Amino acid sequence: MLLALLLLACARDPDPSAIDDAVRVSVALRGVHPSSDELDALTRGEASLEELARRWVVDPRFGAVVRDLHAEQLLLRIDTQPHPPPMGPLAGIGEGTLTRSLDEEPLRLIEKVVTDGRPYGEILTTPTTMADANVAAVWGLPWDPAGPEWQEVAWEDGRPAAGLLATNGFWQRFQSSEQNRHRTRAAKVLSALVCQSLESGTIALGAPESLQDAVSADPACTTCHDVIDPIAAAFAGARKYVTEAEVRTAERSGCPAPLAGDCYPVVMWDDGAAATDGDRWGLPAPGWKNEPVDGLAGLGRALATDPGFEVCTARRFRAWFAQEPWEAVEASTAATLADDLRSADGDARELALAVVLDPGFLALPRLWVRPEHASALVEQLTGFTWDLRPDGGYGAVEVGRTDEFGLRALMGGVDGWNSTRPDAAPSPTRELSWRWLASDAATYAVDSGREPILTEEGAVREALRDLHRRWLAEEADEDALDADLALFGAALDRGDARHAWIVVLTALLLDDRVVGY
Amino acid sequence: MRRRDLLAGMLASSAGCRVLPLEARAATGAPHLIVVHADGGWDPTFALDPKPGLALGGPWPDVDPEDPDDVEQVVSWGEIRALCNDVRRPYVRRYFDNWAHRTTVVPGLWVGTLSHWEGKDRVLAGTGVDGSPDVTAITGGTLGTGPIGAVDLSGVGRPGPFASAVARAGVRGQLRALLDPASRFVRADGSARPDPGLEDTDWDAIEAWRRGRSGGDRDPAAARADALWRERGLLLDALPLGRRNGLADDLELAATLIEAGTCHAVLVSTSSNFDTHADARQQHGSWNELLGGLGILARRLEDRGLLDRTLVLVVSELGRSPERNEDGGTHHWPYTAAMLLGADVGGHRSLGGTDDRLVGVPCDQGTGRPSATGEPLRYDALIAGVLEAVGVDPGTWLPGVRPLRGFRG
Repeated sequence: MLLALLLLACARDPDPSAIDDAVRVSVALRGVHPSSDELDALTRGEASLEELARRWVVDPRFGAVVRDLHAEQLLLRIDTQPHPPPMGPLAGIGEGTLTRSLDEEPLRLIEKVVTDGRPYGEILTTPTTMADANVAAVWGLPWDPAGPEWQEVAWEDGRPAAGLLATNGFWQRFQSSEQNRHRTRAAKVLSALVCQSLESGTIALGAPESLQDAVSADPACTTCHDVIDPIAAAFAGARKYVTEAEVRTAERSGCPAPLAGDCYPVVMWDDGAAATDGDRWGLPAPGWKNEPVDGLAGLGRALATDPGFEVCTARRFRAWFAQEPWEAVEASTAATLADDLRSADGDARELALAVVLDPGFLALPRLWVRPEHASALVEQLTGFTWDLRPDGGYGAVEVGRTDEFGLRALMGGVDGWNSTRPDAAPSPTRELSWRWLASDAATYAVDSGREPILTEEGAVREALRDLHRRWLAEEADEDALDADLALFGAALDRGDARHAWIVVLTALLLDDRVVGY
Repeated sequence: MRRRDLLAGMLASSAGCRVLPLEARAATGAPHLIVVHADGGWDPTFALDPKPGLALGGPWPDVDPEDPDDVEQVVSWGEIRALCNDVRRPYVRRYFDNWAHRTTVVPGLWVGTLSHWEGKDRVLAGTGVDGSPDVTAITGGTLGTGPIGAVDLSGVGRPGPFASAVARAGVRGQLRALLDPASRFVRADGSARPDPGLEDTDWDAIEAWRRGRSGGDRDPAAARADALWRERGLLLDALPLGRRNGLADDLELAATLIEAGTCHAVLVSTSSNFDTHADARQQHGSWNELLGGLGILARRLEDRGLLDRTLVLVVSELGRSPERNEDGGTHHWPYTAAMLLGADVGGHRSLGGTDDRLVGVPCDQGTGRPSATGEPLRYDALIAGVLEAVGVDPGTWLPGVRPLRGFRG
């Protein structure tokens, strides 16, 4: 980065916005700044921003971003809610570790489809899911101990090939009941996959026995239920949910026959129910847009080829990268991006590139680093990893990615359950969280020797100039360095050189060019 | 020393240096707001909406015929009719004995959904439009003159555009970790956290440097963060890091925050879950805890002279179906109930209502009184009425909605 900024400073027509654009695209796609080499290549003209961006979408950190995007929009990380417990064959695993594995199952599947360059619609049609050792043990999936941590595996319980729609992570997040009859799942299909929200009208519900009648007869009800019930019917066979208490009770009682399905591996699919749920609940035949579909697999295939799915996907990607509600994405923008996705044979990496390289995206006002990326970004700059281990065997916590002990919602993210929209503006708790992260990371950088403790004014000035380049991706002017030195000097008066460097580094990490992009 | 006394002592000791005088902070004169959310969808027939005719629902299936004290009894306090059981839910009677004269109940509140998420949007924000701010965020963000507009102790808040004015506590008291570095957990590898050793003077210098970098502009969230930091003593004492607070503790903290002028509005949620699809008997304990906590809150507010200046809204996102299912539980129901207490709330009053099938009776949306030409009391009329009562123009947030005013005066 040093050379890049020097070259920019010396060039006949320096274009510092090129650096800013590269930072924005890199943080959007990977959660971290470009490397010095990448910025040097950009400045020398050896690589264009698009060429760099194409490298970034094959970076493993892009896969994590894909998971983060879908976690927020599909609300699939719900670590504040009870999960199947670490007992029986899973005894000894941290509760938080197991929770994280289970929540990541559908997200890892989506990541796999996207990073393999497969058509995005496969997230709704693949007969596979992703499992690590914990997921495999909980849900009874094959898993090779000699293979990678996360493996793409096929279901062996007879459930339909429907990708995300057939993951236990999706079913556990959007739970059903004898009353709900898979309608919560159907509503999520509509809202998340085709961007269609159901607006409930003024429903004059009567006594319970008339509730079902109203669903099929009252015009105030049928408007929605005509749409939602055929989708819900496609989920027939999927278990409504399994609770932590059910598993605990079954495991403790030795898994007697009536409770065997609640023991590990937990049974979540029932072929018999798939054939009878619809009739038992009075649901219509499975369908999509008034056309019959062959169960959940048929629904997945119908959705994957529906133009509305492409447009909604485009809308969601743009909304997440631009940090705006999907409803705010212009229809024309969504349509153009959907064309890009279609032209790329459904390769969602191309969609992501189209979004972040769009001049309209690059011209947006400053965006704020998401809680999920704060740690990785600061680790890139300082080497400090932001994690913690609560008392009581919960396991390690990635502070920005969880809410049970972490700070995701307090930093403006969603907890997936009660907090379902990211904050529209910086909050006081986000600010306090960044102060925690910045001061800890600054201390680590000093104490680990990554940032030397200098005291001679000239050396300090040059070190600060270098920090502006490395951390803030800017060429500092002399006034800025004077301000830094004043901060350094005042801190030195209150303590020693170590203290002064911690103060200055903390300030730099709280700069808008670090916490924003 | 009891925690309450300790808090009072801290207030007294900190008033001179950290906390603005209450009079100065209440310059607008607008009532404060505390919203208590009963999480999961309560069954109002256990307390606020007695339906003795529901032989297969409500609390009656649980009565032990061998226990002469285990009796469900409808008791009236003016217009309020509540169902009491001095064995299973003693705090219901106790609450109304003490506070019926300051309370309005609203059975038969229509929410028009069977979904928790939509129901929460509607009873907290007054609208099903996703992303809309909840009533405490609006109130605190609009009227708050203290350090923080609103504090969300519940985790169910919807700050929307008022994010910079709302402080979340976190489901396990994480706000404490933000305000007390010494309380933070060790790192994942078991090593101690780095100790930056930064004092307030260092942070002031850092903030001054940041202001200089941004041309003098100050992010309002940063200013709010400073204010929270300065007044952290209140929260440090009351927030247990690593576990969830009980309802009574959160209600106590809500009163303390209002009293100290730290914030203008507080959102609290029950720690027990009313979502009893199986085993509806759990409603007894949940109602008991809720009404017991509300009694403590009311007492605390009155003792401190705040009950006349604080509106308390108690509401749940759903009701429960009138008959128990095969699991002994009840499912969701689109008619719920609400309670209002405190500032300008008429006592001994009951608005709305349900028929024998637990369907809301037609009412005038403004008065809340039965009207043959009306419709069941709506969630948006209630929230609009609350906004108006605390001094916020409801038309800004819920245009076209006629506010419920029948609970006032």
